[in-house]
Amino acid sequence: MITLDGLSKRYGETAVVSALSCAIAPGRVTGFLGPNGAGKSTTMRLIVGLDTPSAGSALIGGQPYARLRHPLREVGALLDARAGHPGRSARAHLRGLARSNGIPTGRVDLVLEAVGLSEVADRRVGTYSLGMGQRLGIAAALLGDPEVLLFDEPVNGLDPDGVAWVRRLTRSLAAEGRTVLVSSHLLSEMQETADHLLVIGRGRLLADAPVDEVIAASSGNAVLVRSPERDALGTVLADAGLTVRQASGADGLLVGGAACDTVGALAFRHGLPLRELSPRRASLEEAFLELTSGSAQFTTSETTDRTTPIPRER
Amino acid sequence: MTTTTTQAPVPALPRLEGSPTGGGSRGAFAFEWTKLTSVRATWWNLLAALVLTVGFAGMLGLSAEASSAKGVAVDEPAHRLAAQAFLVSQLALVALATLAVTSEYAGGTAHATLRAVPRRGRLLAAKTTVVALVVGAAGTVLQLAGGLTAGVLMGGGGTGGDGSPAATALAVGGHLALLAVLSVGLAFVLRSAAGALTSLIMLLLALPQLLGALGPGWLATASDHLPGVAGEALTAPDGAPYGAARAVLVLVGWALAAQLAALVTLRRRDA
Ligand SMILES: Nc1ncnc2c1ncn2[C@@H]1O[C@H](COP(=O)(O)OP(=O)(O)OP(=O)(O)O)[C@@H](O)[C@H]1O
Ligand SMILES: [Mg+2]
Repeated sequence: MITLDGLSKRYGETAVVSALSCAIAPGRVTGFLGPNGAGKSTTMRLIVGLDTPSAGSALIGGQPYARLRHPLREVGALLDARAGHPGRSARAHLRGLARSNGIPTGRVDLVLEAVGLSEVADRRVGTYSLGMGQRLGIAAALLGDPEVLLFDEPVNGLDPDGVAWVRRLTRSLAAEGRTVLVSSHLLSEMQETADHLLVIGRGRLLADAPVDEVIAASSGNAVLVRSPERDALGTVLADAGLTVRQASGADGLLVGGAACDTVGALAFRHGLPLRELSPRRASLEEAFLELTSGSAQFTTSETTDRTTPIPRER
Repeated sequence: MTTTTTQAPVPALPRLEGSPTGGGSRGAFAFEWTKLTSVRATWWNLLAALVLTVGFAGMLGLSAEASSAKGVAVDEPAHRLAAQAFLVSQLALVALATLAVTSEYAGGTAHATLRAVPRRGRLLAAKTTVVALVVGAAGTVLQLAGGLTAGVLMGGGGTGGDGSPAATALAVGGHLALLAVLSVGLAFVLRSAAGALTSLIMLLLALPQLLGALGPGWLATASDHLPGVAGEALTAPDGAPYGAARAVLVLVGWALAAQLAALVTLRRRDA
């Protein structure tokens, strides 16, 4: 269990994390989402005491990180892509970490095996690829068999096989009753992996809810209806106070804020024939973009003005 | 890369049984020892210190031999002569101490280290102890080797003077251990190898020359209390501005000041 209470961080004038309060519960995967620069990595650094909060606190099982007697046995974290000294072997890196926290050094070979690095364990970390470095970071996080796990963009640089492995790993860690916080920009992956979401934008909490609830709140949830009498149907639905948009095809409409039975009943009452009537579920991506539309800091010109091409150099 | 993950069942990892033991200060010490001895830079620096010490001690021995052949008696014992080699070779050991800290910031392991040992004071104490022990022991052994080399090359000469080779070796080892304490502290404050090494070279080699040459009496007094000058007073007492006890005090003062600054930096500044 991680508890954030009014957690805030300023760097000079800029507030990077603003009064975050929430509990990250055990037994489920909590997805940590937010646009670039939203403060996800900073929040994770605050949780493990690398940065000091400007105000508020982050507690692990009721204690600040620095008070933990064997911190690696309680919190495992993958925070930076560069996990080890480039001149040191993965095995030496993990062995040092194990010794620091009284973890039997036999555990080192087990975690190396689990992340698939056994064969390259004696090579210098500087020669590793991005994905191998990421696997080493995960090995270090698992070393102390901790109850709390923080993964900052764990699938960054992993091959498809590795991505699927991280999905299974995070799910099984949560199933064992551990607290798992995972940040990622891969929303479709998150939709499959996470049970619960924490969404922040510009350091502020935007959502703290189960994945299903976050998606349900999106206006992307709609009813797709097709009718040869599309225009007449559109007028009827709009008159009933529903938001109606054109859908693909000559006969399709997307109806927001209503369920299938409402739309079907209205069509029946006005004697309008239907070809299709189906619920359309929003994707996590749609829900996320809607939630964060006001707080994305680094938007590309494409999202605001599609017609401005980048001038080509001559 | 072949991985064993393809269809590996998760969890493939057994739970850690038993309640945690160990860790704490001893864990931090073992951690720092493992880190220091598992990078090549440490061994290269030790090798460089060996080559420089023995090389310069040998040269000093040869030139003393040449002088006495011309009838200019050398009344310094071989071990005292050899100790002068550390004016150069100390830099390799200072670099070892500095890199033990700055490579963590450069290579990104500082975060992993601080998560493993979040108590800043404990981390600083462990790192400082390990580095100072290694540097101090290396200094002692190298001084003995340098003294032997100089003695052999001087032939019969250079047996006069006071102090035993063992005492000089301990003085050199102690001096270098305190320099290591100073270097580790400064490196935690500056975090960059370039910044820390430049400052240390200034402090150890350049400043004594500069301040001494400038003139005013108080500046010369200040210069006398720089760590490099105190080190010479400890290892080559002839003509030193003060005795061994004061030299140790000066060195300890510098080392403590750097450690205090390091502790404040570690506690106050974000990693
Ligand atoms: N040490 C620092 N000094 C000043 N500003 C910082 C520092 N660390 C982070 N920031 C700023 O804090 C903001 C949040 O950064 P953070 O890395 O936490 O974002 P993030 O949500 O992890 O983003 P991303 O999705 O790109 O990883 C950014 O604007 C960043 O520039
Ligand atoms: Mg980040």
